[in-house]
Amino acid sequence: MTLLKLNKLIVRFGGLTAVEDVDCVVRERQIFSIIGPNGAGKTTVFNAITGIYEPSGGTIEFRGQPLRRRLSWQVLVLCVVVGLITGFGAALVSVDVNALWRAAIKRNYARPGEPFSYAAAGHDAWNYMQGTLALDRMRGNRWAVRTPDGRRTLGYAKSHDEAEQMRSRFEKLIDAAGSTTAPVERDGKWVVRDRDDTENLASFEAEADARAVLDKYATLARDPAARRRSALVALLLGIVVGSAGTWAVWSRARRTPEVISRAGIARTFQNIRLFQNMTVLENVLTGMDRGLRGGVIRMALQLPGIRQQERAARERARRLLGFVGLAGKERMLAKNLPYGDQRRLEIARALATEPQLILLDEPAAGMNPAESIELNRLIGQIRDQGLSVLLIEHHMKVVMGISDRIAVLDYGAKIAEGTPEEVRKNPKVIAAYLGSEEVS
Amino acid sequence: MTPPLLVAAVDTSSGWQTFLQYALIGLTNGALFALVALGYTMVYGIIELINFAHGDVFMLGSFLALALIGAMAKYLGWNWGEPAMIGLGIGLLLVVVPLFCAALNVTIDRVVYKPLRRAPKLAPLVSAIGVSFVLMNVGLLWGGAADRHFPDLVSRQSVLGETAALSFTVKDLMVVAITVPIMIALTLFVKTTRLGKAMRATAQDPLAAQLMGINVDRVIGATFALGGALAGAAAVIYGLYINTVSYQMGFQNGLYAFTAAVLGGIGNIPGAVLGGLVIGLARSLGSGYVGERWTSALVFVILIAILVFRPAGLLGSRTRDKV
Repeated sequence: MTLLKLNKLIVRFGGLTAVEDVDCVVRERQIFSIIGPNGAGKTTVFNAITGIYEPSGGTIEFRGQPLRRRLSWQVLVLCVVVGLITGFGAALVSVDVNALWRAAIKRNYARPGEPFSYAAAGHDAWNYMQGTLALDRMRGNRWAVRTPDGRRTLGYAKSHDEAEQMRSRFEKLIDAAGSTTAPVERDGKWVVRDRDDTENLASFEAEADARAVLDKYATLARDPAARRRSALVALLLGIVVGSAGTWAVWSRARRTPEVISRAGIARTFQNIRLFQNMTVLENVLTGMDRGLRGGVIRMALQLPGIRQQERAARERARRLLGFVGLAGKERMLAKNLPYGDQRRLEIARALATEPQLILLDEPAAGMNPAESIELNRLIGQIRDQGLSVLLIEHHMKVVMGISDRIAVLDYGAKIAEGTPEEVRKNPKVIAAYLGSEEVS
Repeated sequence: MTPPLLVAAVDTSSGWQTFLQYALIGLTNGALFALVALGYTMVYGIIELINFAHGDVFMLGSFLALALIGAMAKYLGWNWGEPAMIGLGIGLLLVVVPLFCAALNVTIDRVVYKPLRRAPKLAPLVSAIGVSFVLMNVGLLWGGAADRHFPDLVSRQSVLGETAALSFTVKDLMVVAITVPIMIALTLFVKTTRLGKAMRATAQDPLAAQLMGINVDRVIGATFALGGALAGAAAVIYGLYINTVSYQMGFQNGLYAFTAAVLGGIGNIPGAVLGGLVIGLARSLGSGYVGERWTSALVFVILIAILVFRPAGLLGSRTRDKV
C-alpha cells in the first residue's frame, strides 16, 4: 500500500530551483533510499516533506491525504471574533476622534461641581454617536444646548426643562433642514415648519432669513448621517480585513512540522539536532509527550493519573533506548554522548513519536565500518517492526545492502529509480554520480 | 524617579550591623526584582524576544490589586483591619491578580507577537515597545497621572523582636515568604513536568521540538502565561511592600528587572534570580554607602562591568540552554 507519494514536487528559492518535478512513491514496510551527489537536493526533499519548506509546486500525500492541519470550527469562530473586534475598532477610529474626545471626556471634566464619571462619559459618547444635541450645565444653573461634539453652542436656557424644550425644537429644526422642507408664507411671515408639517418652528420677516436658518441647520443635519455611514463602512471593512487576516495567518501555518509529526512522519537530521542539554531519557520522552494527556494544573500537582502515564512513558522510552543500543546511558546529557550514540539517540527520539514513516538523513555519516553494519541491522529491524524508512545516504554499502528501492537525484531532478541492481547498472547514474566519484 | 527604598530605619551605630541591615533590605528588594526578571528571561529564552510590555503588565496587575482591595471593602464588606482577613485577602489577591496578568500576557502574545513569529526579530521587538506604550496609557487612564497610595496592610513590626540589633519586619518576611516558594516551584515545574520539558526543548531547538509533535505555539503561550502570573504575584507584593503605585512603575521596575535578567544571563532562570538579588543589594548598599542619587548609576555601572567581562551574563553559557 502506498504510504507517501510525492507528485511533481518542486522547491524553488528565489530564482534557484533546488528540486524539480520529483515523483516518488514509498510503500509500507519499504526501505526507500534517495542518493545523489552533494547539492542534488536530497535534504531539500526531506525539508519539504517535513514542512520546513513550503513546496513551490506539486503535492505531497501521506496515506492519500495532503499533509495539512485540519480545518476546525474553532478557527472559524476565531476568524469571526477577531473580525468583529477589528470591525468595532475600525468603526471607533473612523469617527472623528477629536470630536468624540471632546464630547465624552473633555466636557465631563469641565462640568462644574461634578466629578468625572465613566458612566457619564459613556452616555455622552453614545449620544455623540447618535447625533443627539448635548445639554451642558453652566455656572448659575444655566444650561447650554450644543452640537453633539460640544463645539458650537446653539442657545442658552435658564432651566433644565427649558433646555430640553429648546433641544427638541433645535432637533426638529435640524430634521426639517435635512429634509426638503422650504419656508412657507403664512400671514405675511415666512415660517419654517417641521418635517411632518404640523408645527411652526420659527418665523421670519424675510424669506432670505428663513432660508439662511435652514441652510445653517442643514449642515448639522448632514453630520450625524455621514458619521453613521462612515462608521458602518469602517465596521464592515474592519470585519472583512480582520477575519481575512486571521484566516491568512492560520492558513499559512497549516503545514507546520508539528502537524506532519502528528500525522506519523518522523525524521533525523544530517547535522544532529538533539536537545543537547537534556538527558538521553528526556530527549526520548519529548517525542512521547503528544501522546499523553492532562492539563497544566494536573501536571503541576502531579496527580496519580499523570504519574502513571509518565511512568509508562519512561518505561517505553527505556525499551526504545535498549532497541537502538543505548541502554544504561539514560542519565547522560545528550551533548556528552559519542557521535555514533548521538545518531542512534536521534533515531530513538524519532521512533518515540510512533511514526509510520521515518526519514533518516545520512545516519551513517561519520561512522566506522563496524558501526555502519550495526546501523544496517537497526534500519532492517525498524522495517521489520512495520515501519517504512526513507533514507538519504552516501555509504554505498549501506544503501545497496538494505534498500528495497533507490531513487537517484542529480541537480534537483530524478534521473533514475529502481531496485539496487537496476540502479547500479543504469548508465546515467554511473555517469552522474558513481562515475564522477570514481574519477575523483 | 526611582522606587523608594525602605532604608530610613537603619541604625548606624555599628559597622557590620549597618552592613547586614542594608544587605537584608537589598535581598528583600532583590527577590521582588527577581520575580519580574523571571518573566523577561523566560520569554527571551523561548522566542528570543525582549518583551518590553512585561513591566507594564506588572503595573496593570498592581492597579488591579489596588482596585480589588477597594472593591472588596466596599462591596463585600471585607474588613482590612483584622489580621486573619488580611491574610485571606492577600491570598485571594495572589490568585486573582496573577490570573489576570497571565491572561493579559497570553492575549498580547496571541494578538501581537504570534502573527510575527516568522518575521525578522526586529518586528516583534518594536511591537513590544508599542504594546508597552499602549498598556502604559491604559494605566494612565485607569489610575490617573499621580502616584497612588496602596493600602499599608502588612505590619511593620519586627519579627526579630523590638530590641534586636537588626530590623526585619513582618513586611520583609512577607516578601521573602512569597517570592522564595514561587521561585522554587517554578524551578521544579520547569525541571520535572512534561510542559517544562517541552519548554526546554523548544528553547533549545524549536524546529526539532516541532518535529517531536510539540505544539510550539501552545508552549510559547504557556511561557507567557507563567511569566505573566509571576509579574502578577510581584505586582501584589510590590504594592503591599512599597505602598505607592503609579502608571510609570512598570517602566522603572521593568528596567531594573530587565537589567537583572541580563546581568544573570538572559534566558537563564537561576541567572534571573541571581541578577535580581545582585541589583537589590547594589541598590541598598549603594544608597547606604554612596548616596541615594547614585544608586541607578551604580546598578548600570555594575551591569556594564559584568557585560564587559562576561558578555553572556553571570550564569549565561555559550550553549543554547535558555530556560
